[in-house]
Amino acid sequence: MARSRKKQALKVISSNAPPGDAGPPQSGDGEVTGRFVVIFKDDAMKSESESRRFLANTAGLSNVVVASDADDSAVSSDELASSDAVVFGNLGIAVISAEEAAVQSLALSASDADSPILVIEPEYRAYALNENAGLSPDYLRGFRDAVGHLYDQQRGSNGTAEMLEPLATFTDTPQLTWGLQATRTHTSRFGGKGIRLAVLDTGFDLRHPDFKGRPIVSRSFIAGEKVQDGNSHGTHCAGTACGPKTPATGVRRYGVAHSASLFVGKVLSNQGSGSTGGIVAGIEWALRKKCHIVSMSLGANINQKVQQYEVPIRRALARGTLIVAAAGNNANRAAGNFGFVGPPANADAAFAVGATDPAGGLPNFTARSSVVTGVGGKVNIAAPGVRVFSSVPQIHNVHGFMNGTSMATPHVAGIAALWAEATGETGARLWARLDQSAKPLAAPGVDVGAGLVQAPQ
Amino acid sequence: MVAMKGEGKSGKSVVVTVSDDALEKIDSVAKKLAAKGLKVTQVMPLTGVITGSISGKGFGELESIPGVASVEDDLKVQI
Repeated sequence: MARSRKKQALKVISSNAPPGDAGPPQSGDGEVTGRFVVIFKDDAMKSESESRRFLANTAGLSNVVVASDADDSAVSSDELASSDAVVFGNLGIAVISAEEAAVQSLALSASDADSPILVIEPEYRAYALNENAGLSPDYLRGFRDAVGHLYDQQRGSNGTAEMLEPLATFTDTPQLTWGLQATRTHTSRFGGKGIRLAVLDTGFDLRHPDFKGRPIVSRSFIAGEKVQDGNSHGTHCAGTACGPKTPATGVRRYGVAHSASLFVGKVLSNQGSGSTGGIVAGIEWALRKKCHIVSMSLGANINQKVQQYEVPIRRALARGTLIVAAAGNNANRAAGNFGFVGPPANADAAFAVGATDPAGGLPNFTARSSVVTGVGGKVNIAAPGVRVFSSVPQIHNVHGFMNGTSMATPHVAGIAALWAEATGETGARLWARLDQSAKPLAAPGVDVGAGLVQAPQ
Repeated sequence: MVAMKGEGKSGKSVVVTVSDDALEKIDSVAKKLAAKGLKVTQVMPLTGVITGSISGKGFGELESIPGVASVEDDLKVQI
């Protein structure tokens, strides 16, 4: 059958719009095939043969292929080309290849309120966005980034332009740790004033000289152990999250939210282990104390979801408390093992933190997003987690260096406190703010999520 | 479910989560759990979690109590 059809020559009328409003279908930038798609109203057609009869009676179409006639319900492009129409009963649509007059008849029918036709649209050509279709996602992404880069160059050095510069390698200075520099915490106007931040860990050295005079609310959830940190891990994490702007001991600044109210829950023993009972008790306590942010540098090395964290962390976020959790140190990248995000960081509502090194690269241990635990298995963001200088108990020499996603986590918790002060945002909005403001890294998103956490300026 | 842990003298530690609709009556859920043999340690109304210990055979019965969303072995975590 010979066909000559002009693109967009047809006035197609939708029955659910007044005739006056029903202009020709807009193709936008899409490429049309010349065929038309008739979409029937829900339940208007009880069977494919009813559709076939309707097309015959209304538009005089005799050569109608029904999708179920074809093998496996799949219709080949040959069948489409040689028939007047193909009816897809399960979808409630028909693709019309007939002469324009037939389509006009259908359009006329569609203008009747009783018509079984909901709308008639031109058929668009579709392309799969995969590697075989010419324009791969990677190609498109590269193209987008290149255009974005040119745009930023045109705009000068303000705005987002500097976000695309390669990350420099940071080093500790006499004034600042590398982590505070990389996250731009040192130039932030904010210190977390009025924000309550809980660190749930191995406790804290309550007599640490850098925290002298700082009010700290604390409680132990470990039977037979006081808050006093017999490990070092808790004091190190709390130091990063909330250490002072100018340490009394004269060392470089290492703490982020120097003006936040610090809550210390001891949920891990001096040996560095604990169980859900104590940790959830710590979360419950933080909620009762109306803490805005909870930092948890702890985890279990199982690649599965557990309700005992999923549920309480979801409720915490719903109450406006953001729980920041370490992604885990279970990778051994040098050996080809990328690890996984485990509980509690794999709870949907937990903000999971991976570690970066001073060059914005990935340390060997930092865990990758899990692909088996759903949404929660993602690494959401990254923060400094290598050679991190912070406070440790006096009996362990007052200050020291540690590595781990445990160290990255309190950077994010502290910066969350700065954002909370700067914007008044909490909970899910604070989550979005951290995500949105993170600095892109060259490392894969499965390892660093949105990128390197950044402080508000 | 989390891999079973060894059972101590007072039974094994379990973590029970309470469903959203039962949050306000968590105390009565805790009582029902106790009646089924759970030695309740903590009832936490904000997070909706009840912890306790129970001998191995009573474990499954807890899940059928109205208002109980999940029962799992208490998970060990580390720094």
